[in-house]
Order: sequence, then C-alpha cells, then structure tokens
Amino acid sequence: MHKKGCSKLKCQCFIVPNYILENLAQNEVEEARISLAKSRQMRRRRILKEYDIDGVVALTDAGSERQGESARHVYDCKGGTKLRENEARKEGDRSSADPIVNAAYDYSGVVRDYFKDVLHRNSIDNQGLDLILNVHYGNKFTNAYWDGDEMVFGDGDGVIFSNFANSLDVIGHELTHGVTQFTSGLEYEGQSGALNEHLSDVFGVAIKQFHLKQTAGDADWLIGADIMGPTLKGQALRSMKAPGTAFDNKLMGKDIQPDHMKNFYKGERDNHGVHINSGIPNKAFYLVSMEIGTDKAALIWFNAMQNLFATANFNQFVQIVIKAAQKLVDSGDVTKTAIKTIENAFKAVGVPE
Amino acid sequence: MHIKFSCIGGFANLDLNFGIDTDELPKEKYEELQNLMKHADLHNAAQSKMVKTQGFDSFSYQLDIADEKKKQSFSFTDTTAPEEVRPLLDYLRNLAIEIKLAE
Ligand SMILES: [Zn+2]
Ligand SMILES: [Zn+2]
Repeated sequence: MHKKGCSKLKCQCFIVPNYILENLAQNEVEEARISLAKSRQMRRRRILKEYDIDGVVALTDAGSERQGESARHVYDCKGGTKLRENEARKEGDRSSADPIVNAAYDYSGVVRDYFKDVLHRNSIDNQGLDLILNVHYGNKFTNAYWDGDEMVFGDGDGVIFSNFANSLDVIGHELTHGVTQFTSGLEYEGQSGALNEHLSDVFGVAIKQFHLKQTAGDADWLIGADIMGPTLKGQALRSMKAPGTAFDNKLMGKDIQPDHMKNFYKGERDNHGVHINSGIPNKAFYLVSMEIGTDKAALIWFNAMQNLFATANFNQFVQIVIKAAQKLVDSGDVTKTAIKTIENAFKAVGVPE
Repeated sequence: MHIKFSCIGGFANLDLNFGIDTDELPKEKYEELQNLMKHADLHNAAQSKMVKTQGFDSFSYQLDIADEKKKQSFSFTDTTAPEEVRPLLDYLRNLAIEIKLAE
C-alpha cells in the first residue's frame, strides 16, 4: 500500500528507513543487513534509471535475476572519455595487440578467479556479474576508479605515473570496491570510507601475494608500485607494512598516511581522508598476516566484510573481524591464537580507542 | 578572466591546484582553453550532473571562474562530470600537474 500523500513518482513507502536497518544490522540480523545493502543498491539503480542516458543500466540489470557468467569485457577509450565504446577484448577472445588491453583482461581474470576459487564468491555481486574494464581513458588521466558499475583506467602522465591498468594490485583494489558495494555498501566518507579503502587495499595485496606465491614475509606490501613512472621507481602509493613511507616526490609531496590512531587525519580533503586513514587498519592487517599468514588473514577479513554495515567505524570493525575470526576458529579453518593476534594487532595501531 | 582549479583525491590521492589569469596564458593555450570551455557549456553542465554516484577513487574537481561581471563555481567528480566537461577537466588537470612540477 502507498501511504497517504505519496507522490508515487518517488515512492519510498516500501523502504524501511535506513537508520532502523542499521540498528538491526548492528544486532547481527542478517536479513536486515542484506535488505539494507539491497535497498541502497536499488535506490541507486532507480536514480540511474530515471536519468538513463546511454543504456548502461539496461546492460547491467539484465543479469540481476539470473546467474551471470562473470565474463570480462575490456573497452578501449582511445584517449576519450566515453565508456563502453570500442570493445577490444571480451571473454574467450585471443590476445589483443595492445598489452594494456591484455593486462586488464589477465589481471581481472586473476582477481575474479581468486574470489571464486579461494573465497567462493561468484564475481562482484556473487551472481556472476560481468566485469567491465575501460582502458586508455582520457588524456594522460592519472587515475583509476570504480564508478558503481564498471572500472576505468587512465594511461598516467608518463612521468610520475605509468598506466594504471598495468597492475594486479590496482585492478584487485578497484574490483574489490565493487564487492564492497554489493556487500556492506560502506559509505565513502570518514572512517567507513577509510574501511572501504582498506578492504580494497587488503584484497589488492592479498591477491597479488597469492598470484606470485609470496608469503607475508616475502611481499613488499606496497600498493601501486607498478604504476609509478620511470623517475619514481621504488616508490608506491601506499605501504601497508609502513604507512607514511610510500612516496616523497614533487607532485605528490610526502606520504602522510598514519599507522596509529594518535595521528588520525581529521581534515576535510579526500572525503575526510579515506585514502589517508586507511593506513591504520592496513597496518593492523599486515601485522595479523605476519603472524597467521596473508591467506588466513584475508579469509577472516572476507568473512568480516560480509557482516559489516554501511556506517561501520574502526571500533565496530574490530569487533566484527573478531567475530568472523571466532566463527572460523569454531569451524577449524583458523587457529585459536588468531583472536589474540587480531586483538594485539589492532591494539598496536590504537584501535579500539 | 580568472580561473581557480583544484583536483583532489583519486586512487593516488593527489592534491593539485592553481589559479591563473587567462590573459597570462600563451595565445595557443588560451585559444585551446577557450574552445574547451565553449564545448563544456558549464551552465548546462552544472544542471545535468549528479547522474551517477560520486564514484570510488574518483577525483573531485572544483572550478571557480571569475570575470569583471560575475563569479561562478562548479564542482564535479570523475563520475558526475558530464561528457562535454571531461575534456576541459583533462586539460586543467594536466596544466595543474605541469605547474606543480615546474614550481
Ligand atoms: Zn508510495
Ligand atoms: Zn579505492
């Protein structure tokens, strides 16, 4: 039933208010949590539909009812800013002449297969959503992003940054933004935004280590080392092992990521520091991985990720990680000592406050 | 005309900004900028944005334009910027990088 006075056009009558769902979600009511994630997703879809200008929604919505095949589609923007034009390589196609197209195709395959084979998640939405990757976007575009439906990669300026698609941890990072969107829908602002960034960094490095068969001790724990330009070899965008030490150069200045709550960034920029304060949980993940192995740590984090809610802060995150770990201890997937390890790791970075 | 531009955030969390008087630009650059501004049609662009979510890892752009008569401000992200504005943002971002590296 519609409520009295409902405009019908922007009907909200059937949607439980988000704050109620969030309270329920905190009490671990699984159904409410799923409903919350779904309603956010639906609302976004509805907004998109109302303004649908390029048929993008029809394309992505087509598979929502049935299982998709998580097929890769790599598009070549050819220096322009239009998405999904010039399909350069789709699932099953032979190699392209363009190494960047192939890198996007291959690395997204590694990420997809890791989620499927190791974590038993069927693509971004767990329903086999296709993976859309746009490469050669813009003119010297020094960025990569997830726009809510697909991934976009620039070529970099060729001095400070090389091509953003040419990196497994960058593609793992972007694709994980999609997974987060379809699970907790962590808000991209403040502490929940920093957790969103953290999870993307976690799976970016965990997948890279898995692919390269590295242990936590062998790995460099850097994000974006492969996309630094020729003048900045050895630098990176973030270090999970030693946040605040990844770069120092003319364009970016000096890395200001904190590795402890006492240096928490309280400024406004970057949505209140989503790429800055992620250093705090990043360091905790590194510490846990050094004790129990990156594979076990990633498994715990992946389980925690599915019990998170959109506005979770650092303190709530630790509790959820510990609960996820406890379940895995009970099922025999993780050793009992993991709980203490996690508590100590977060304590070392000042969480909970 | 005075232009103030900033490009903040993104995957690499950049902090780029500059302010220029457009008549200080070399003639070629000035003309290119004029063309991009015309193409961007910022008046309409401001109204047609917010089609998409802000995006994850997308840059936030702020553009202030002032002449003798008026001052206008625009903000976009990589995902909310309309198609026509994107080449202008590309141009201004690259100019910002150029200026920062020359400092
Ligand atoms: Zn209604
Ligand atoms: Zn990100």
